[in-house]
Amino acid sequence: MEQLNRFQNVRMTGAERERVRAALHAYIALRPLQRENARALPSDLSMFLVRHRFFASVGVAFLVFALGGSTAVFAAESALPGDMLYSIKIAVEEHVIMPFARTPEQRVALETRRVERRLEEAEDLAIRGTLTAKTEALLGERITAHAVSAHAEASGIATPKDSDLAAHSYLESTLNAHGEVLATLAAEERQGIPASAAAEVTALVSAIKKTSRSIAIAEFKGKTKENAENAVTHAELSGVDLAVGENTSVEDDEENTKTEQYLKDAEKKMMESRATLASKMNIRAGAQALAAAEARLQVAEQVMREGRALLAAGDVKMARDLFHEARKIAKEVDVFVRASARVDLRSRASSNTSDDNRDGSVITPQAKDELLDGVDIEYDVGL
Amino acid sequence: MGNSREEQDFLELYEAHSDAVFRRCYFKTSNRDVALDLTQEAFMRLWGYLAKGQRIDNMKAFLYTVVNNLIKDWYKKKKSIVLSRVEIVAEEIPDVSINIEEGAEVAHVIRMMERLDDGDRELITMRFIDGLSPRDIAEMLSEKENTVSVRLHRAVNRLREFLHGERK
Repeated sequence: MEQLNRFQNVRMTGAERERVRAALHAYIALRPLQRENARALPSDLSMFLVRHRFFASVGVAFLVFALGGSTAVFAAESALPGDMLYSIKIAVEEHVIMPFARTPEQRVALETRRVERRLEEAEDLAIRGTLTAKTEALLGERITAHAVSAHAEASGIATPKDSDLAAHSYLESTLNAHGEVLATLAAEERQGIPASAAAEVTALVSAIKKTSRSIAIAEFKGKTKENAENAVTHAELSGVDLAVGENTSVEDDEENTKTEQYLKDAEKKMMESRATLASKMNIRAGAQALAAAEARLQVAEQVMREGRALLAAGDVKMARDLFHEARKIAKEVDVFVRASARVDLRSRASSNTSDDNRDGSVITPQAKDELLDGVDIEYDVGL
Repeated sequence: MGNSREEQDFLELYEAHSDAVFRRCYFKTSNRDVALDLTQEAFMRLWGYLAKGQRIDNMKAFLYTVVNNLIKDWYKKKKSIVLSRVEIVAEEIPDVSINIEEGAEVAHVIRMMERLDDGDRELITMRFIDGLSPRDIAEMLSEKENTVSVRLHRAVNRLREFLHGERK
């Protein structure tokens, strides 16, 4: 019957299909397939492997501590994927440091810091020219896993404070900024990266961008849902309570105060990023990276201007969103400049020192401080 | 690091079946936004199941079970709907990716489908809205393929009679 066959003409539009597809991407990133689930192994054997790996990692961590192994831990701190001590570095993170994070906020900060550490490892390997397909895949998976974990923890915070939301966007800024640094590394011939390693760096950048996009989409979706719920609440209130005028006024005051705080935070972050940029201008980072940072800061300033105009026009919520966006961009610039400077320093060290010391494996006092205090420092994730 | 093979397979599955899933949700709920949400939710549940390492023997059958459960849940939450499904569909169909004339005709067919018994209507829905083959339908309903073909043939004839009767 011809009429029945016309049912087939009812379908999703291209935009709708893409929208659902993007949501699925985000969902997949949040609930990645467990590797052991992907293999056609008998379930009992899979469980055995999972348990075996867990106890092996714990065993390594305990062994390190039982031996009073602070030296080993310090040495492991600068280890990179492929190094013998790298498993100790990961085991310490996982089984010694992570359990100390008691609250979701602390876990968000720690997981974000772990994302950053993996990204720095990728940068160091790229500088060495030893980023292989295997290490690229390993780091890519770990970066995604830590990012997803940070995002999931942040999403689970029942009543997020502004600082929690900022921590959320810091994760995205970190991914974007280091993604840019790695892309620059892959592109710069002066780094002397072999073509094969450069290809792996490019693949990793692509994976980082995908993770960042998924996180942003998931955050946006959460925000949209929250806005919709708020809209319903407001609609119900306005329909039921005729004496809502006074409440609305109080709510408006709260909204204004909150938006002004966002404005101040964004201005502060812009100033900090400008200061970071100025401090590195004459010292380390390459001219190209600095020009890119300057261009991004100008974008942030433009967003700020638009936010101020909307605030003046009375669109408080939209203004707040723009101030939040400007702060995110400014933070991204800050991370990007610092990471570029770090990479620049490593590159120079790599070309100026002997092979034995080229990865900076000698622990400097500064590096020790960072290891000991890094967790606490990163609780205040520069926000 | 690109998509894993499983992710790629899953996204291919989405590309292959999303229209059919959407169509089922749309014709059952008469609401495009709800249909999109349910389609998304169905594929998310499918991925959630796969991510846990659960075994699925018949992917298509599993997907349709998930979709049907979601639609049932949606109906439970929507008991307060006053307008009849057919009326809403008749209004909304021209809005979809078919022209107004076709939309009116399809709406008329759907109105006539309301006269069929539940079994016949479900069969026609599975065959012509979900785009399932008689073999797929047979597997989902745990029946023989030829039984499904015969039942389907009879259901279509009954619908045809309703349509002709209406035009006379």
